[in-house]
Amino acid sequence: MTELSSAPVALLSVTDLHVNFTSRWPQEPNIDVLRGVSFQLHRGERVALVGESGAGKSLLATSIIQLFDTSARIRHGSVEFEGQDLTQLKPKQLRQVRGRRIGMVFQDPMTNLNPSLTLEQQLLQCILSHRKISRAEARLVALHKLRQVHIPAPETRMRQYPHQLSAGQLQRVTIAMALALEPALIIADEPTSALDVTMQAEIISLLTHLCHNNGVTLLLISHDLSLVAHASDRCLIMYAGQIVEQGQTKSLINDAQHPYTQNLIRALPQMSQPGKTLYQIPGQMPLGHELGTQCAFANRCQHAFEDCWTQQPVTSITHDREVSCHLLNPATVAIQSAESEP
Amino acid sequence: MTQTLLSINNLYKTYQAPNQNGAWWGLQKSSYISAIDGLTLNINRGETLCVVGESGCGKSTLARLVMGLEKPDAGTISYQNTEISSLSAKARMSYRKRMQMVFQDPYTALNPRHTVLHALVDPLLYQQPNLNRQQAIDQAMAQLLAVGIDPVLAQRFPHQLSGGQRQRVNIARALMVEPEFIVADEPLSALDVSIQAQILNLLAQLQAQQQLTYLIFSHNLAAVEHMADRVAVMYAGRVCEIASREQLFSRPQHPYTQALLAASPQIYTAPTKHHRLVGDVPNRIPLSHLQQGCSLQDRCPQAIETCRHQTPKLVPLTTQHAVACHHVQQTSSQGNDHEH
Repeated sequence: MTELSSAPVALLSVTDLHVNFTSRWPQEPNIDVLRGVSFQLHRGERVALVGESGAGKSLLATSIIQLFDTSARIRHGSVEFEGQDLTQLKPKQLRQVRGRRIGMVFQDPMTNLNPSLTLEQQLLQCILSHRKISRAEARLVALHKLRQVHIPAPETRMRQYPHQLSAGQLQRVTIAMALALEPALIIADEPTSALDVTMQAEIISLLTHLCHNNGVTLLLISHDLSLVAHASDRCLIMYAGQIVEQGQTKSLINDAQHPYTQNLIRALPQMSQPGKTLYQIPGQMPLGHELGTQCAFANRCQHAFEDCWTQQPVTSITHDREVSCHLLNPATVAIQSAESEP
Repeated sequence: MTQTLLSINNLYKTYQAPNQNGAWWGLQKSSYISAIDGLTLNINRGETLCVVGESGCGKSTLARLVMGLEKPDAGTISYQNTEISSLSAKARMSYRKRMQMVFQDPYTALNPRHTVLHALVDPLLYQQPNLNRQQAIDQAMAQLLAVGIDPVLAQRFPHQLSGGQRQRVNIARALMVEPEFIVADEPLSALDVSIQAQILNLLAQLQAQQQLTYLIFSHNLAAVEHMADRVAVMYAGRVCEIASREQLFSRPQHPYTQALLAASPQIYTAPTKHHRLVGDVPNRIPLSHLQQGCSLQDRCPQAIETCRHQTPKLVPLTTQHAVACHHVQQTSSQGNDHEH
């Protein structure tokens, strides 16, 4: 145990992952959505993945367990989870990992559950397809998990259909379902964007506490930095299929290094005086195939200079932060400080 | 001098609920859900009134009632002192031109088989049949420029636009007939944070240019704090607190408002555990009369005995602040007694 903690082995390590969508029409280009994503998740961590829609957040989440559309293809890279490379597994082996070791909580609980089956049927189906236990035992597991997510009167709720529960309660059920098989990792893809503010706060705190108490690693995907600010230990900022900045959430929010992260924080309505014009990030996120060798953020960045248009930034690593930006490149920093000194 | 543009007076709307016991053959009495339960609200000309509340509190029903998409069961909605809720469809036409709506989900609010131009020209030609088609197209192009959309996109279909662009087209469509009053039902909820900023700025800019009055429904409190002049908090079909923006965000009085503010995520300050509400918005079934008194009583940490059997009324605390809560009214009257 002490050996493990002194040299922590990553639970999940994604290395240089490239995923593209192949087009049906030969004249249309293949669209690279993930363009070299690398990150690691350690056991028991709560990590947030933040970015605009179209940045590839959901595709990254589904690429880990290969739940994506048939037109998507992993072109390059590896996804190592508990010592095995998931990209090399056969479909049957992959099914042992999905749900069993990696649980998913999806965005909209209304469409995530089958409307024509009772919650009991769905929970038992999920448990029994992975564990060799009797129906009665599985039912006890399901009830226990429903109690953990604070569903009142779980015995009666189990017999009901999804439409008889409110959205907040349904999202609790999907969390219970994800936890039922005691996975090592839970991926929550915008678990609260279909919910209200009060319910949102409750679900996020429930999810983070349950994962913490059960020693489950959580990958929380969101587009709202203020939501994950207090619900995660580490934060990955994603832009145009790449992770542009990662670090401890607190220090990342207080001292954002990448211009995109800085702008993302500045654009929050909380950050400006009521009634004043809000800061807005100019322009739009480019698609992967439109980019040559330039930095993906160059066309929206107020600090962009020559290098940004000619070459991809390299990731510079300091003690707790990884940032892909030319501004933080030691060579650039040296030149700029030399220019500003005389 | 503030002038009242729209006034809603003691409005009621009840929907028939599907029977919970599964008695589909109609032998049992069906139950009713009162979506709007005696709501009173005034909107002044030129202001932005934001209505906040959880889903199920009747926000969308109120929007539909104001726009005349539903008829109220009782109560009145007056537009510049003319009652409009009981008008016939034909008599209502002239008001439809003055009041327009921006719908929640920009993906479903546009017809997928109509181009952007088609979507914009249609309402204009419907309201002004004498208009020459070319004039209508010119106006549509001007409107697209006004909401910051490249006119090149006019021939595109909705699926070829991004979420932010679609919401801009929705706003442009609402503005085509030059209305003075805009109802927006959750205009930001389907959008990203960075796009939200663009739409908020656009709404503010259009309001300044065209002297628009906004009634905006939202549960995004950060955005509400940014754009509202006054804020009404709705719970279970009633207004439970209404105040100017500064008053509401600096001194929220109603326990429900306090809980909403506490639940709103803040980037630098950690969320507080006080004021947290448990449970859901109650199903408001008046026929069963299970619930007397304040509709928040089961979830409220400050509920007192009066809350169990008496429905609180909206009572003004100051000129700009009114609250419907027994607890607040009691403590504030005690405070006044001490002063005397």
